[in-house]
Amino acid sequence: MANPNAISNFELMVLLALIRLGDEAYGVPISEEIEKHSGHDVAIGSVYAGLERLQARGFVSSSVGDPTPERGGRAKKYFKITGKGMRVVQETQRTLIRLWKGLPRLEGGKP
Amino acid sequence: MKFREPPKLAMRMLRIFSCHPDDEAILGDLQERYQKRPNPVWYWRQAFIVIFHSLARETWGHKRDSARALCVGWFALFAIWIALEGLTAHPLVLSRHVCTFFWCIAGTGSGGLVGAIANNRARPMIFLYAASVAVFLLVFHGPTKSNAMFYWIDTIVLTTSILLAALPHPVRSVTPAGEEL
Repeated sequence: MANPNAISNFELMVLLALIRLGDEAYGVPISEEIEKHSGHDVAIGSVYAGLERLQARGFVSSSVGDPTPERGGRAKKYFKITGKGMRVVQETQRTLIRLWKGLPRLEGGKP
Repeated sequence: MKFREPPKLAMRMLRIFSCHPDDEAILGDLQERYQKRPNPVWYWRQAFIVIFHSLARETWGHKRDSARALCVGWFALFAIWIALEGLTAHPLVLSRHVCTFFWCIAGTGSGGLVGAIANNRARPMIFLYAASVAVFLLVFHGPTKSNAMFYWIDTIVLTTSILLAALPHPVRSVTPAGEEL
């Protein structure tokens, strides 16, 4: 049976970025945080698409912030991980750790 | 810090084609990031990705509406085309200019009908229908040596006239994330 709480690799990265950023999580820092740790360019449109899916499943909540001049007077939209989202991250972490164990070829990050 | 204006055309395209409920926040994020990374190519790429995600969200997320829009659009296009051709069946009337004019009427008419049945998703449905027509004409109905110029004129006229039908509909008529009408 399919896991109803299954999330994609990118969605997991978005949730981890939200945890890292805390109250300062909106489009720009989220994409920068993922870029910093993955080493790849991340499109803001993809971040919003991922956040929308996560929000629809109740893993993320959002609130509108204040507009700033460098944004052309447009408001920021802040995102926060919910308790349900946190449980999904912990569950995914446990699953990955279990899968990782007993794989000497992957120990230390070496293929 | 000096304020850098992102490419105006890309911003305009985002406003016209994107129908995401978070458009204002996305535009603000892109503008804020552009101040740190003033690269027009980067901005254009981001704009296309936002538009793609927004249209995919509205069309793939509402498959039944999308299928209905495509059926109605194509049926209307052929019906209007046949009716107009029948009205001017005289060989002297059916000149090349009349033909292009027909495409214009058929495009606007069928696009308008797609918009009328799409309720609150008129723009994305019209864009989907226009894209299907453009793909059909470009992939399955390429130009021949004798009519290459008219082929391109008619393709551009038809696709543009379908897109024109989206103008009377509001830019943002979609529901926020997770809400279904």
